Amino acid sequence: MTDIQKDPFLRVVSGGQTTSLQDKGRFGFQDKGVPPSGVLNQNAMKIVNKLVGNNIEEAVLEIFLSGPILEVNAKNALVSLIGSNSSSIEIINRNVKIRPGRSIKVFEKDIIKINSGNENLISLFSISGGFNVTKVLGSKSTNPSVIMGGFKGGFLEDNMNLPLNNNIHKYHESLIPKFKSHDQVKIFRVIIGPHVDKFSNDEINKFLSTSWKVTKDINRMGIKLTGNKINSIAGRDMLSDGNQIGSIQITLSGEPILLLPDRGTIGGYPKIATIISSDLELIPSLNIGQKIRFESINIDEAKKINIEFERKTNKILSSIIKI
Amino acid sequence: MKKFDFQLAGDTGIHFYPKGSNKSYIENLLSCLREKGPKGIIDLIPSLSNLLVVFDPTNITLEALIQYIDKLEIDEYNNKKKYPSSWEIPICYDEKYGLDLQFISDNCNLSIDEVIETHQKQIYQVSMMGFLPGLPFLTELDSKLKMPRRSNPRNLVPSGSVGIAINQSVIYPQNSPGGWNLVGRTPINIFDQRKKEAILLSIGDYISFKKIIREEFEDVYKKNKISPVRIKKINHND
Repeated sequence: MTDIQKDPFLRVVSGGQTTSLQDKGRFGFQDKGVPPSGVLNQNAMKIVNKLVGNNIEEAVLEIFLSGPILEVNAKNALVSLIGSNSSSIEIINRNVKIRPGRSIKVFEKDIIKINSGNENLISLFSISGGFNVTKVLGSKSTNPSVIMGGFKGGFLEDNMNLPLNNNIHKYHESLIPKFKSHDQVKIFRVIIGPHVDKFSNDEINKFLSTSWKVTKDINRMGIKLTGNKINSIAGRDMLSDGNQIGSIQITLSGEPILLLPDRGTIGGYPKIATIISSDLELIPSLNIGQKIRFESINIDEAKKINIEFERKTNKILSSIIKI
Repeated sequence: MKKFDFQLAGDTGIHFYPKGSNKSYIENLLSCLREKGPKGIIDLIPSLSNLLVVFDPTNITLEALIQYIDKLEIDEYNNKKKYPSSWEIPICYDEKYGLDLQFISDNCNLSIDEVIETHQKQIYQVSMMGFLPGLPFLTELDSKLKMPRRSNPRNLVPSGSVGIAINQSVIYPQNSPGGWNLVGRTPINIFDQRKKEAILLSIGDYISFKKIIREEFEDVYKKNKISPVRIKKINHND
């Protein structure tokens, strides 16, 4: 118990582009207009937490594009990162660098630089004990567009202090899982709909046969794609309805926007297709300019894929070992 | 035959559409699922056309969910359900807050006083919530005030602003960009994320507006900084 220190925190030396605190999300309030937020890659969140000995649903830092530099103000802690193959945690003052998917012990006044690499949109960073933040509507997730949750409702800013929980976990020196990083799949499997009646078969086929490009218009609300124009018979007067994470809405100009966890709970554009839940985990591995395609499957196929995906995740979680 | 149509939103969401013109179906299904929904329902997102049910397929299968909803005696249940809350919300129609009163007056061929009276005398119902956390869409606005949203949305609409467009009125729960035509402002916080009951209103609630003058607005507003003002519940069940 000598490791316990009063009010430990991480000082933000540099906030990076858009880093925020996220957990699995704020569910149960969408009927009142509260977007769920939370991480897209729920299973990666579980793994990165397990790597530092945390409860698998503890809140983590989501690094969207470039990463922050943090100064440790705690006696010690275990940290870990899940990101692309070129991402890393660098302890600048000790000239140490570790790959994603393993943990490392850090000490008082260590300077941690999170390199998100250039292949991934999103990486996740965990620290043993987790962040000491009050939950808002049951979640620590940040929604910067409505200034809610996390650290003052926003992204990490220079010189902010991120309060940590006293690290009472009895962690190991370092942990690694026995797995390779997932395949670089650029094909997203979708279920057509919900607004099947707003698109002709030709338009749906065009949507499925187009090679789409990820544009620079990216944030936690959505990702704009370019590559073709999809025509819909829905006009300006379409009644707004519920938005699902992973749905692809078609704007009036015919361009698709992939809806992410901070999107409004309802929207007035027709949604042509919805990415299946296990493929949401692939969204963080996208990057600007990348080509992606959509492949239509049915609900039964989606179920099988999800069961297999859960099985793999559980296998990784149970394989995490000391080194 | 089922009482609804449905469309999938991926493998974890399903939109339920009422069949025919059963307008209260969505609201009734919502309150029914809220109160005694099966395990595995994560979120319910009602809108004017359908109810999106987000579920966890590891807890409930799609088939079981559809079957469960098909078996619900929704209309019967509705008769037993609690009467929705009614709220009287103070509003100041001073032109300092009702920034578009003149514009609405010109557009609708009514005097400013008539615009205010027409907006104020109506009893509204919360028919949908969204766009921002806790933002209520109130129906039905008097057709005399029917006009489109502003062609140039404002970058900042202050929290508490009350706006109108098409057949609805809204209350902005926080500072936000917005395109509704502003008639006034309430000093009440309808959304306070520090509170456990962060969001005051629910779908189905009734709202009436009580006109207050600018001095009252400013007085309540100042006090509100210290402790929230209790809003008088009204009963128009009679």
